[in-house]
Amino acid sequence: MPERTVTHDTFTIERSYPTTPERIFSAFSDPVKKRRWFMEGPKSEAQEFEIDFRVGGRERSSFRAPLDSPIKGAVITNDTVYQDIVPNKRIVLAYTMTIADHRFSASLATFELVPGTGNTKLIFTEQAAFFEHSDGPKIREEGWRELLERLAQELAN
Amino acid sequence: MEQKSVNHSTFVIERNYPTTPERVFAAFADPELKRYWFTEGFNKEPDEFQMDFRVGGTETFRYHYREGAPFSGIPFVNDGTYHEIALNKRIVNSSTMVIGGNCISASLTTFEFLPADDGTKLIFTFQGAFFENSDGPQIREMGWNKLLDRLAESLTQSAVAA
Amino acid sequence: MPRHKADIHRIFHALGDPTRRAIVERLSERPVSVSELAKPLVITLAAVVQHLQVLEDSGLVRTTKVGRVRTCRIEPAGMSAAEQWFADRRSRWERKFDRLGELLAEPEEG
Repeated sequence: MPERTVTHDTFTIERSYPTTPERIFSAFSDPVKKRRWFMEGPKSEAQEFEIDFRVGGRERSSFRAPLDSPIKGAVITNDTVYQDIVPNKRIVLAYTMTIADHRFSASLATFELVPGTGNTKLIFTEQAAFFEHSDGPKIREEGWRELLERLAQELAN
Repeated sequence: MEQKSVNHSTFVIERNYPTTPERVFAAFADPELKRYWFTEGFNKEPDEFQMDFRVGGTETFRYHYREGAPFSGIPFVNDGTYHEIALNKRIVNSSTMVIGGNCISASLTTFEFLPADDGTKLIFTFQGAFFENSDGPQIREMGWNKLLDRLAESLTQSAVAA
Repeated sequence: MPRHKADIHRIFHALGDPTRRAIVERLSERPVSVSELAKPLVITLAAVVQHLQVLEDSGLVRTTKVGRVRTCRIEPAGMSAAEQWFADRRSRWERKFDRLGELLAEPEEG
């Protein structure tokens, strides 16, 4: 019996931001804002970024990994298709990650915004399918935590 | 304080089919073969079925239920995108279900085609996000079991015809 | 004889308190005297009596005194009222999905 080639995982990250759901939503829907926190980071070099923020719309982003990373300077591409958008409440998207021509994962990602007193809770859930030579759920979760921290900095400014 | 309104759920269905992985895969890849088991049966009236079987391609299935069935006449739309295709090995796609204009769920579905002694083992994994007013994972799983039954029937029929 | 006919708002008010929920859970096992009730709850008898008053007003619980002992028990009519409220709240939509689920589970004809 041959080995399976896919593993499935689900993880959730909850974060609170001291701002309104509208401001957080805008950081996702406004291409200028999204690019700032999603693309510009200390570790990798941003390459392309295109976004069409609507149900059925697509987003593509690519980064060159640092030379000292395990994938030494390879280009990683995210391809996203938006599944459901409820303004200021929820964004659901499906995305894949590819290194060169090898696709190593496909995921459903849900962002829920829950208003509180003086803050908003963001609940991020990823339901992923990992293929051969993938990072896996632990590294993926870590990657998202870093991104959500960059979002915090974007919202603070 | 408002609570989260999305229910995330995963289920897995395994089936064995007495034919080759190539033939089972073809039932997913060929629109004429897929149309038979995916769009027809249990009170559904298909209105439109289109699929573009390539990575990044989309699949749209519009239908409604016959008179007398629950939701009769209300338009249902399944809109999906193919994310990963490995020939005769695996297919991964995402899909939303929209009822009467309201999106009730989004899901990622994985189909793995594994050669087995007596044919093919299909491992189907459904990872879904259910929104307000949705059916939920139990009913969805029931629906998929029916579809995979119909797939079995279609593979047996075409084996006989071949 | 229940003091008040079951009133859904009073029922939810009554169940909104964790001590009262604990009392209802205990009484669901079997009837208990007031003094017995107070023991595991680590509160005073007076506090239990107050809680029981709210529960009786809501129609969920009934107490009767025989001699010197006051015994508390669940009032079935109150429980039924709560159950009915939930059943009524289930939307038409959910019922349709249930029906769809039943249809899907039936063996297909033809």
